[in-house]
Amino acid sequence: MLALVTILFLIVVIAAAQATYPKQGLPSQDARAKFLETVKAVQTANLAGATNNELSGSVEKLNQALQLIESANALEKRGQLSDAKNAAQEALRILSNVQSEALSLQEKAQTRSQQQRLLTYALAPITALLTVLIYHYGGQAYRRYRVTKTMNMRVRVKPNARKK
Amino acid sequence: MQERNNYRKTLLAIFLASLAIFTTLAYVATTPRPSEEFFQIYVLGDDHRLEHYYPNDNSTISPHTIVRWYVGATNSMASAQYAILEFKLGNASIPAPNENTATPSSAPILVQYDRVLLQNETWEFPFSWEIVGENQTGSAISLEVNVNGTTIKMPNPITQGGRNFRIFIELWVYNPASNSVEFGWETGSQRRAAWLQVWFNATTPSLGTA
Repeated sequence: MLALVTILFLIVVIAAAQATYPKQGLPSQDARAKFLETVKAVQTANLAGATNNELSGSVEKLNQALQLIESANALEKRGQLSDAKNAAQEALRILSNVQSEALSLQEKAQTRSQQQRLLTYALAPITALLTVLIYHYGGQAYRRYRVTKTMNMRVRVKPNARKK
Repeated sequence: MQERNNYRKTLLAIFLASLAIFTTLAYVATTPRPSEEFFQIYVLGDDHRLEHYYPNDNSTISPHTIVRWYVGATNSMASAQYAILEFKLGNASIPAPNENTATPSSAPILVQYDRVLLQNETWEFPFSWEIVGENQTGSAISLEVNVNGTTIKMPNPITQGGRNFRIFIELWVYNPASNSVEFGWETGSQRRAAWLQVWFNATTPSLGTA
């Protein structure tokens, strides 16, 4: 009975300890997870139609964050945890900025693509109508030209024509 | 009256035919064309050419001889990519990477460099290395190498008499579908991989040249 109570007590204590101190990764690991998430956001923006010019700033910042994560990792290995945390936090700050930039670029690119698609499809009936108008008025002009040409014709006899 | 009706029918037919043609053109113009997505990696010699990979073109490298290469990667994928170039030190018995099965080499990592690349961007960097130390056990040699200013002790691999070392260069790419960095990349339903290797011998401390 006492053993059962002790085991239950230990389970409760361990559960409480885990709830109070949730397991956390090293700062560089958290930053790296966020980095991969941000790369994904940038790729999504790119695939949605964001151009290299629009994304170059974000990619530059991503590489800057990558360097900070690597330096945080190196500092962790040397046991300089406080400096590592600072570097990782700076990387996280940059990555948050890039994520919101990527999201905004993605929305902008999607809107632009939709507008372009709409405009291209809207041009189809307009161009078809223009084709009909060109056919109609072009045909009229051609007929007028033929009529005028026919009316202006004069009968001429070739001087050396043989008489039948 | 009949003639006018016929003319109207002709106009309607022209309109419908033109509409079909221009709608098809609009579809073609707005649909992205499938293109092959790939990466390229390369290693150049000291003078930025596909030659002179070793000082005096001698592939037997003695300690403290600096070997200079330029390594690059080009992203020809559909979007920006996170790429890692892993440099591994191998010998003749460690299997090379396999591009058919997209299996990386099991050789130990010497050093790695990573970067996010824009679409169609080429990333090139100098790769200077030298042997700064050799550990000899019998005729087995392992190396201590300095790469771009960082010294790395490589207890493995070992070679007999310092012969047939090789540096593998493998391209690893972030795959958003699996949220991990993988050897090679996916294009369509296929998996592709890119890797390079450069062989060299190391001068043994006691025997002179290998």
